[in-house]
Amino acid sequence: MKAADMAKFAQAADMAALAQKISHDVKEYLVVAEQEQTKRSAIDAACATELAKIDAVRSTFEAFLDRSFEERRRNFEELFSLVRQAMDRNDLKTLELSLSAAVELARISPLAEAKSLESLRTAMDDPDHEFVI
Amino acid sequence: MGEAQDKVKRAQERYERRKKRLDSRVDFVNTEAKLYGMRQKDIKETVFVRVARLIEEIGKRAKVDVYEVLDGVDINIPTVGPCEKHKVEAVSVFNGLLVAAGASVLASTATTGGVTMLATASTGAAISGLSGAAANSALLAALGGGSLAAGGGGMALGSLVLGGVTFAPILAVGGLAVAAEGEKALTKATKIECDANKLIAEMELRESVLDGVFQRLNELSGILNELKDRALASLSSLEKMVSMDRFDGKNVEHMERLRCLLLIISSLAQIMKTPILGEDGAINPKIDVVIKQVAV
Repeated sequence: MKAADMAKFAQAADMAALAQKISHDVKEYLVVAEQEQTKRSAIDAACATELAKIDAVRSTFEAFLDRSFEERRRNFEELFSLVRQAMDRNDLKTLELSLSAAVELARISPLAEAKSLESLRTAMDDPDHEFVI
Repeated sequence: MGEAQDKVKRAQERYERRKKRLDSRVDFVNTEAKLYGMRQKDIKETVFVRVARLIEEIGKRAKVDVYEVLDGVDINIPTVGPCEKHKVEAVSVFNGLLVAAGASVLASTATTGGVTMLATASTGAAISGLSGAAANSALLAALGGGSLAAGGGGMALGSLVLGGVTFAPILAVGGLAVAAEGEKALTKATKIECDANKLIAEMELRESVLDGVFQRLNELSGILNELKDRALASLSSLEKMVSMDRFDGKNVEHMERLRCLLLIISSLAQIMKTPILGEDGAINPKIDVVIKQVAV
């Protein structure tokens, strides 16, 4: 075999090895890319579930507080209306009862009641649970 | 790599913005709590003191120990603890970027290394057995199809190959390694983005709790104001009677009016002792537990 032919052969062999190496690396890259895409999809899905859960707890908590404070506001209004009327009439019994009810109501903090959030989270995992707001 | 970096950067920025908003909300609610404490102090210093003076004025005819009512009235200025600084771990991604940069270099070395192992120098010696300038020349010549003397393109052609046809695949292989590391970095960035989103959602939940604290402060302030107004109206009327010496301890109506005032004062004292948040004066710890649970 002539030197030139040998050189050409060597060059062809080198290029073939290179092509083989590139082909191998491309395959490896595609495998990695697919694996990583799968991982990302799993992360996104798990994340979306967790976010939805937190969001559901938050919106239920907000709805609970809004409803609770609004209901209490109306009750306080009625109780203080009774307080004013009782004071105008020096009606000690009504005054004592209405003040006592107002103090009792004030003592119960809706925030302390929010401990029900613990059961709320459990309820979130229960597909049959019905939320009544 | 850029996509991963951008993702982390955007997540970090969103987290920082939300954290700033939550911190400012904490400050706002703390200020409101302090104002509520000052309102309590004002009631104690004005209304209660005036009632005590009134009782002193009425003297023994009243037969009421107002200090018993005043006893145990505490003034609490609750504070909402600062929210913890959460860290978004971006370090791992940047480590990944460094690894990828290293892989690019390694890929390039591996390609030429492959040639080194396969090719034989024109002298007949395996290139891998040569070193230094001799190895480089033989390597370039091998890439060029062998030395000129052997009928190949020699070093010049080898250099051209490196600079042209061969150089591009070397870059491509290096680029693939970078791309593979980029994919891994993007996955890490996705995890960081997810963690940041969960922290943001947790902060939103915390803000809802703070809004609840604010509503509770408003509620108790409203009750205190209502009772204070009732107490002041009653107090002014009784003070006027006493100052004009028209208060009679044996008069049923006069004593009922005094008892009305004391009932109001007693209720004021009880409201002032009512915890704003939980029993221990802090945010109900169970809320914090729940926040942590849902954020895991």
